[in-house]
Amino acid sequence: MEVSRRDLLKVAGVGAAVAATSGATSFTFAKSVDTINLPKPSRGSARVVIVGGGWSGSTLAKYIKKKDPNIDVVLIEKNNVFMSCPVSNLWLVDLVDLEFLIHDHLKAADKYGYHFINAEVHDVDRKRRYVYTSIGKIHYDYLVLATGIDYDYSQWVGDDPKDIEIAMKKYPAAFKPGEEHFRLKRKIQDFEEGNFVITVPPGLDYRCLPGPYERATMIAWYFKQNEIPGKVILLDPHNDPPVKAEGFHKAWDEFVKGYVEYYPQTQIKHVDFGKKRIVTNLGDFEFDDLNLYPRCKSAPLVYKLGLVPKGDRWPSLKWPWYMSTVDERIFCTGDARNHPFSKSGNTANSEAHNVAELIVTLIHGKSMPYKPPRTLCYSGVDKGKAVWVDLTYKYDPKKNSFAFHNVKMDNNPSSKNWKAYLEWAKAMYRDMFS
Amino acid sequence: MDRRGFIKTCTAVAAASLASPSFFISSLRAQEVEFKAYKKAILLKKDGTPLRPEDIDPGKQYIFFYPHRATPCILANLGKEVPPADVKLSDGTTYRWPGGVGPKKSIVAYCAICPHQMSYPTPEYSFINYYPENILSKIVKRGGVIQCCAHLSVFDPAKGGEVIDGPAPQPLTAIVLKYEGGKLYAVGTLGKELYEDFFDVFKPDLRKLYKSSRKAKKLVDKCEVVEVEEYAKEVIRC
Repeated sequence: MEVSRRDLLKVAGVGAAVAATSGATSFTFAKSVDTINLPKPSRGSARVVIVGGGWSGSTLAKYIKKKDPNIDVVLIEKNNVFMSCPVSNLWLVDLVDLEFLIHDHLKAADKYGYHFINAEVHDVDRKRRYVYTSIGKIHYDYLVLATGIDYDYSQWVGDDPKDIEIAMKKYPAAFKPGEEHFRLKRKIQDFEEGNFVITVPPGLDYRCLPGPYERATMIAWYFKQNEIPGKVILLDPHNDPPVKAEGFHKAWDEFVKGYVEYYPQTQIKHVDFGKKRIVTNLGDFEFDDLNLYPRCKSAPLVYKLGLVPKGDRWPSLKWPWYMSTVDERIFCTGDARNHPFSKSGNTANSEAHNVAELIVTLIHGKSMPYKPPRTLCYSGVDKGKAVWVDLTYKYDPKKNSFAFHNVKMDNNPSSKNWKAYLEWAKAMYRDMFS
Repeated sequence: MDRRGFIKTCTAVAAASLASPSFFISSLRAQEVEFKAYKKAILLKKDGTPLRPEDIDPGKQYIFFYPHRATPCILANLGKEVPPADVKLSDGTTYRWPGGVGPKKSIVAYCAICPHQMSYPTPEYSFINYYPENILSKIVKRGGVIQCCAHLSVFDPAKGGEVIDGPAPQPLTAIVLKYEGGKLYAVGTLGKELYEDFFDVFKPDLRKLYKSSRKAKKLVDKCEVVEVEEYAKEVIRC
């Protein structure tokens, strides 16, 4: 299967029709905003603006420039340093240091020649193709939204802003690296006794499928190691961990026995912050502390641009080409797109290699065959022991759907897997930032 | 090329690259896959005597450093004649890999820097290894492969290092060997080299091992060959 400019034009026709009824045509941003003045490699260079410097955006910026230095690439990131979500569960319990997770974009930006802007994106004028940031506006030919995830508290907490604020401040999900992770780490260190509840979001569209299970296991290990009279209560709406179930069960039965209680098929109905309890179909669970990871949804910007259909939580994309069905100039990548691919660092990275090639190919007016991303995912299950799963995806154009393909796994916790886990991460950081 | 010829070529390149920015990139690409000669370096045993083909056990893997002092290579005896092979890059470029050397044409060598994300053997760990026929890769369920366990890329040492499985975007860089008068020599590389990035990315690590980048980059004229299991404290297989 191949994508070509002709495919794009077909999408553009659809886009024009939808755009007429969406918010895109009522764009009213101030016209007096200064234009960010960035030099292009040549006068005619196409410009790709990437919003979000996480695993997807960082890889894309580097590899578009590597594939064609004549394309102008602008990476816009609101944080002023990169912090990795993958491997952060090990940092939470002091098994890697912070420097392992922290990286900068400046070396890669300098080496490969992309622009790095530390700013927040407020809005996009899709008609005139301008991105409006906190430091000015910038024109684009193609826009990539690698904006990651946001949390949807409506299911379990409700819509009261007071309750949502409590959830975000007191019980942060800590799957968006930064402040939330520091807060969670302090909570783990402060915990003295009782029940430390961790929730798993429903469905398969949350960031890092094994993340909550790995976190529960490693926090349990920390409690055991430090002789804290507490346990982790893991509330899971699934029948079993969707990945690496065998490996996690081994850990709970052998390495951290007595420090983890696992409750599958648990449907959370409500979280009562005042009484510190979680109401579920299995009854009420009281917590002394809580890591509340709710359902995920698109970042606000994706909604604002009118790319998310009413009632949905993710942008509508033309598969398998990552472009919005309402605007052929906009791509959504990494965790900003929905299924069928798991929201993982390796998936975002390998997918970004392919999308970089796709964007360069389209700019050159050529076509390319479809290439699926790949998901290699390690999880720690004890100090110095890990398990992994590796798979790719197969696209069925008739059904417009994907299936897992070439699945391999090692559910035997081992030290060599742990070492490979750390090398996996180091190599990924090299790929993005060196 | 004399100075006059060189200037003429430069002028032509400059004109072409102004007309088409991709020209310069494609001409560089064309050069990248040609044989690149380095110092001719004899392969030696630990005792300083020349390594003979019969010293290379088909059931083991060996490491030496070439063409630079810090750039690791895997040496293996595949135990059978390895004919030349055409190796294809993702951009469609192909090049001819000359096959095995030695009396049985069974000895091959490859750069041990993974072309995916540059994992390489260090004195602590070796994630990229040769799996002799008697050690099966769990990924492709067979021996006779070179495999990197950081991201599960698998390469075929009997086919010029081409990718069999996993995410590596290009084959292993081949080390070109010569067999002369019963002795083995490394004479150059074939395929896309990764040395520039390698020295850039691992500068702090290499400085610890070799004191300075200059020393790490020094070209060698003799190579001590040792078993990987002897060089690295832990060999990580998967």
